[in-house]
Amino acid sequence: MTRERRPSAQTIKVLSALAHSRDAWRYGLELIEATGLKSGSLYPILIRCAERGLLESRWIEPDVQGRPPRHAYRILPAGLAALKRVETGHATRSDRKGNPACA
Amino acid sequence: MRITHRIAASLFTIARWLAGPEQREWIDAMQAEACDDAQPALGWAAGAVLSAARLRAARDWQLVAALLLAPPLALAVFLAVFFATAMVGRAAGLGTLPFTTPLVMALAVLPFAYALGRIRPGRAAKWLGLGAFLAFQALPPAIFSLAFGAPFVFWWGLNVAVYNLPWHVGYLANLAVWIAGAVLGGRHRRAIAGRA
Repeated sequence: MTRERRPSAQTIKVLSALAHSRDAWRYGLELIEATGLKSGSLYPILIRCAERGLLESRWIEPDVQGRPPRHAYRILPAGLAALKRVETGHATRSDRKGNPACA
Repeated sequence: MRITHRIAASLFTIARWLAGPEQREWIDAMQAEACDDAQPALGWAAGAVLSAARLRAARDWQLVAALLLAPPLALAVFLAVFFATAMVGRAAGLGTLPFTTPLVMALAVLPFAYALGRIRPGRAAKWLGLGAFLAFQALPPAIFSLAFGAPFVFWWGLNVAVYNLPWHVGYLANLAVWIAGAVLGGRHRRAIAGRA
């Protein structure tokens, strides 16, 4: 049986940014602005997520003439499911710890 | 073309080489983002090199581990054997035996150089040998300056110089042992694979 590794906090940030507009294709630059990550951290995460089938990528022709095509990313249902699992996990752990306000 | 863009273009080339053909697309993706004039091209290029290095380290972790471990282990073996032989020589009243240091240095390095070649044969073995040689030579000065604040000391060069040999002979001999060991390991691996 293979155990699924919990995504890192940075990976969750990236998936959350992509899930925010789930049908839209987002560029690396937009994801950097949305997550606050540096390019050296963002791209290894994007590669890992793409390899695990959490997101898809494609080249998009630019609107501005003279610019090269840009790589864009979109979250896949598996990515949304992974994000949901993490959120559910957080909620479950918080419930187990108990609400301090009720103590 | 501005100088920063030239440097960035060179860094992207290095990143492509590091990433390998299967991950090259991602480096192209980063370069495409860096084409925006508002973006710091050097920052993106540095990020691409970092990303490529991470990808490569994850893919070739055995190689990275071997390259990190081989020089310090070879140094530890060298020091242990060198001091043991020096103590035996002194106890036997023979003093410092001629050419003990070069001989021990060669023998201590050889198995580790061979192991590197076994991991990655072919042309890469020679580069691995060179990389391990540089790390091996850089380690003692780095350790001494970090631990004791001692100035940079020549390692093999100084030890060979005491036998009235020029210092660069020591370095070249050490380099030759690292590369020869790695090539030997690579050839042995290919020979075994050829027989199988």
